[in-house]
Amino acid sequence: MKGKKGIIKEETVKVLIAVVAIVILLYLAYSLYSIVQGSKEKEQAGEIAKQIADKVNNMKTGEEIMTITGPRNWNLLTEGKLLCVCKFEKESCKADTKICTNIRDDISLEITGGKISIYTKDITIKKENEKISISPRK
Amino acid sequence: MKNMNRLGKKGDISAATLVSIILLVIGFGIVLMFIVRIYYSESVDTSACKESVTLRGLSSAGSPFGAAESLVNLRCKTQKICITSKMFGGDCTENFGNERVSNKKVKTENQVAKVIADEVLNCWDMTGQGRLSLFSPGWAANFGVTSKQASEETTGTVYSSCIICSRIAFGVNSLKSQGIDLGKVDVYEYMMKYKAPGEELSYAQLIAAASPAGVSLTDKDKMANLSSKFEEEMKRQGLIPEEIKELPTLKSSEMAVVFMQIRVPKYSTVLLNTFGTAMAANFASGGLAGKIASYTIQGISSIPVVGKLVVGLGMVAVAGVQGYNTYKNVQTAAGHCGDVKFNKEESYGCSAVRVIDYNADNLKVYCDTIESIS
Repeated sequence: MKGKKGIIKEETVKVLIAVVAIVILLYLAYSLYSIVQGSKEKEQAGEIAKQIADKVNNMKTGEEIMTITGPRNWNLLTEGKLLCVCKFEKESCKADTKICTNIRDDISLEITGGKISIYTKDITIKKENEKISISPRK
Repeated sequence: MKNMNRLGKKGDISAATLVSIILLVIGFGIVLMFIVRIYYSESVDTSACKESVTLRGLSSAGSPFGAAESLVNLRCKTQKICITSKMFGGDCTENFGNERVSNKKVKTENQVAKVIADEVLNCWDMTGQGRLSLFSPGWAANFGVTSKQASEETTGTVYSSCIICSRIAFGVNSLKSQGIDLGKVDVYEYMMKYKAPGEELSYAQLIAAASPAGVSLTDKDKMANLSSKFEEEMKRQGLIPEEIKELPTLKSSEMAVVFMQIRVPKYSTVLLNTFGTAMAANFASGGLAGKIASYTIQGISSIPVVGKLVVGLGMVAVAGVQGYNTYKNVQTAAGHCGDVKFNKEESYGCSAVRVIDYNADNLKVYCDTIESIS
């Protein structure tokens, strides 16, 4: 016959295993949920902001054409020393979608017209002195 | 005796617990591995993409309304390839800046063709070989197609969707100093002539064999039939090298390998695209099995490097005049698929891998929406 202690020990181990299993299952469920529901648009747009910022930060004087393939309704804009992408609804930026990347302090960046759509487009990045302008390719 | 029973009982419980734990660990291990491969690992971009494609394909197969596929995000990141002859490092910084680039060292024109052919084959394989239905109208709406545009779907508008599998740039200077003439690179010839890595078939044959027509690798008659049809079609379209008089010039220093899929929003096509076998086609389209898997190679004059020909390598996943297709849908689909199908029948969808000049104008011709991450 098992003693009380023995039974308690055995049950405790089972409960612990169950708890660990539930925690892992919850984690996996969350991960799967993230895969299914994660904001793909945001990821695409963020990657484009990163690539443009990278180009801007490392650009030599002159002009370069860059092809961008972002989602619809997202725009590129500047905020001080930040290059941002943001999803627009009714002509205004949805704050919770904004993603920004730093640009070098010595660079002055200007976007023609204040914002540019990042949906499949060729853009021209032009650098004169330390002034860089981004505009849709003509 | 009492002691022995007690021991035996204890042993039984331990064994059961042990088995449960082992099964749990194995189960968790498998699921975890799957998630890590899809979600976290950058080193397995291709596998992650392929697995997410499969997941979406399966979702659409399991959903009678084709909407579930829009819930599964594809994890496809565009690969950046630099074809160079430099001994160390690459020379495509103008194209890719500081991004992660895979440098491919080449010494001959044939090696350049191989890199491009490999990318085409990888793209085709990674995106489900035209067997899976990946993009639904619901997906298009989720990806920014406006409600106005979405509502037009009901009256016939359909959307073509793309994954940019890779961007290929050329270290033009190093290639020139190696004596490589990009104008002489012939990807079409390479794909027809050379065996795919680790396979007994050429690149072109391999893609044909994996077609949704269900042509088996061992079914020599069907393969031969497909090959001769393929040749005939090439001649009919004037795509055989002898008939091409004007060689296209290199218009940009970068090309893109793009997977494109378009289909009209009819639930039956989910079945066709997913199972894609002759049997499924017979079941759904009333005996038009012969038409479901036309296979061709198409020429696009603006393609750089490939010299004379080709390089949209494509396959019609589903083609055929169906009673339930609306005129407008068919027109839209045909507009995108016309160059990758055999006959002039109206088509209600296709999957194709194309190699195009990488610029917005070209991308817009084939892609209303792009789901890969640049």
